[in-house]
Amino acid sequence: MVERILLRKRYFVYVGVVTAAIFVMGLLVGYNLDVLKSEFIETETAHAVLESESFVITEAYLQHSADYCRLMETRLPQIGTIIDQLGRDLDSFSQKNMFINYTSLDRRYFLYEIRFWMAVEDYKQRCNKNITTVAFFYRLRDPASADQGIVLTALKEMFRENIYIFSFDADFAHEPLIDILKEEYSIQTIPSLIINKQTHAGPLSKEDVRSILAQP
Amino acid sequence: MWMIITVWIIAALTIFLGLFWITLAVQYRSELRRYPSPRRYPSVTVLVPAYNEEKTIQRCIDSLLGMEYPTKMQIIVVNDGSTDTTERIVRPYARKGLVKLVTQKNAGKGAALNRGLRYARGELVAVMDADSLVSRDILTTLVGHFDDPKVGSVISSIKPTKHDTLIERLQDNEYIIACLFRRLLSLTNMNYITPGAFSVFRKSALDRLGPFDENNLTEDMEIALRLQSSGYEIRSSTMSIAYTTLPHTLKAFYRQRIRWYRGLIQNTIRYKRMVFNRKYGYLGTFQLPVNMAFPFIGLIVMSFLFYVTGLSLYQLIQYLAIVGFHPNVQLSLERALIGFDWMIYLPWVLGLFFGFLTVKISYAVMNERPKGKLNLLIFFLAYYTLINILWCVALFKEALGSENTW
Repeated sequence: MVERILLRKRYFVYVGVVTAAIFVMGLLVGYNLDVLKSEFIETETAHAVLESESFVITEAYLQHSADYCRLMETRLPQIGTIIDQLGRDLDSFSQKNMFINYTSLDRRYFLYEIRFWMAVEDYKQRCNKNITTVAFFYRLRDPASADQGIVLTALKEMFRENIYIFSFDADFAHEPLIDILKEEYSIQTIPSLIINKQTHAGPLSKEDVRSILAQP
Repeated sequence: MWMIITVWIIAALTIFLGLFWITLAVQYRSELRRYPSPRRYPSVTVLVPAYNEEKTIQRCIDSLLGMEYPTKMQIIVVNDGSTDTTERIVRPYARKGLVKLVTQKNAGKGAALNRGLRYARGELVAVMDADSLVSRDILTTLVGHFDDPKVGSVISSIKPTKHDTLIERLQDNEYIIACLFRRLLSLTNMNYITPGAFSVFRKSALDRLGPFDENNLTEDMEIALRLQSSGYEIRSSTMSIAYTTLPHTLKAFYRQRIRWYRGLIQNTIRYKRMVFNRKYGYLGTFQLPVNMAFPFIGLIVMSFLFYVTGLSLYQLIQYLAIVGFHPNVQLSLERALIGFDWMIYLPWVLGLFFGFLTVKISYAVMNERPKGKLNLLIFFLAYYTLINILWCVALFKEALGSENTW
């Protein structure tokens, strides 16, 4: 019968090694989840790019067609939904990630948004539609930006297909076009909103935005 | 990021400790329920300090008288100035010569034990709470350890007498884990407590070390550290069972735990010379530092959980207040699985896994079954948070130098 175990240092080392192994396994699980997240976003982006190409070609094809307004009216909300979901996933997954760099995915997403923003503005003018476009310049881990995001979500829920919101990381240094937009629209403070091509320094409440929209 | 790093460091420590004890338990599983056959049965004195124990003292004495032990035992009940009928209940036993009744003015448990020690004639002295009961074979399964002259004390396994309220059932899990844990501490000579429910001491060791500390909040920890610091070993016998009455209300639980935790803090400070001191083996270099770190780890874990939960709730309330409830977001199982925030939750999942494993092994060793799955779930999700809160209160009271109360 054993009444005393002589614990040797070796035992602590063994347990330490197994702990480290479990830790590494944990990191491997995490790495694989990060890869899965990134692959999921890649697939979503590829789908979005395809939709975008289809949209661009459709737009070009319909340029001189009398059916432009009628057809774009159904196409725009479809693209809007795709872009919206991609943005949510990208935002959510990139925050729960340790290993994968999302810079390139973010860049593609911002370009995609800008392209779509331009298309919506064209459609508005050409078809004389009362649609609101909002470009939202935010900063990561900024409570005011987070609050502004919630207000915009509320507006999107309220106006549905009559409002299109495009979000841009104001500090994103990998896409020169974002800096050009900031300069062109004189974005000085973050968060800021460009509502129907007019710059408004944020944060703005739901009522603020509604009163801006009510102006002629 | 600092938060995630802290969580992972704490998770690593938890996994290390969990693995350490689980591996030992598995490796020495055959030893966990064994006890040495005694070469002889030394004489034993049982000391029962009692203060207002009219509800439990009779059962306590009856269980002591029902013990199977071949050598004559001496039972001393020290009435510590009870204002109820405790003395009246004990007197008939004393008249029959079954117990010795000693009465003193109320002076506390430590003083009552010291008073009783003056009359103790046994080679071994058992200390027992008046609200506890003992199994019939508690002494026969325990005294064999004293054949080794290095052993200064042997502690029993403690199980609750009742599991009526939720707080009792939650504590039951903790007591079962403690039975296994103390046996493992015994095997590695790292025991740092001789619980009041039922612990047996070598009388010569107590004579050498002096009386129980009368002003200590946890005299059972103080005497254990004194024994360990003087070179005595404290063993634990899994098969020697004492049954104790648990606090059955949150208020009683709060009072007991604050006293325990403050006692642990005070005694660790008092015996700080043992901490990180190789002279005291792994008790000094491993277990006492772990004891010291535990409240702080708990504090960090609790703060983190409160922060994460509070922030999520705040965001949710804010979102619902501004946006309202619109369940038209594209939800999918794939998104939910892939979107799992592993950096935050994986350490908790691992921690819970090791927690469940420890509970499973503990119940298997003690031949018991958990009292309901919901109880276990609450134990893991809420009980430790409660314990952490109580640790914070105890630390706070110690820092402020609040009065010590029983």
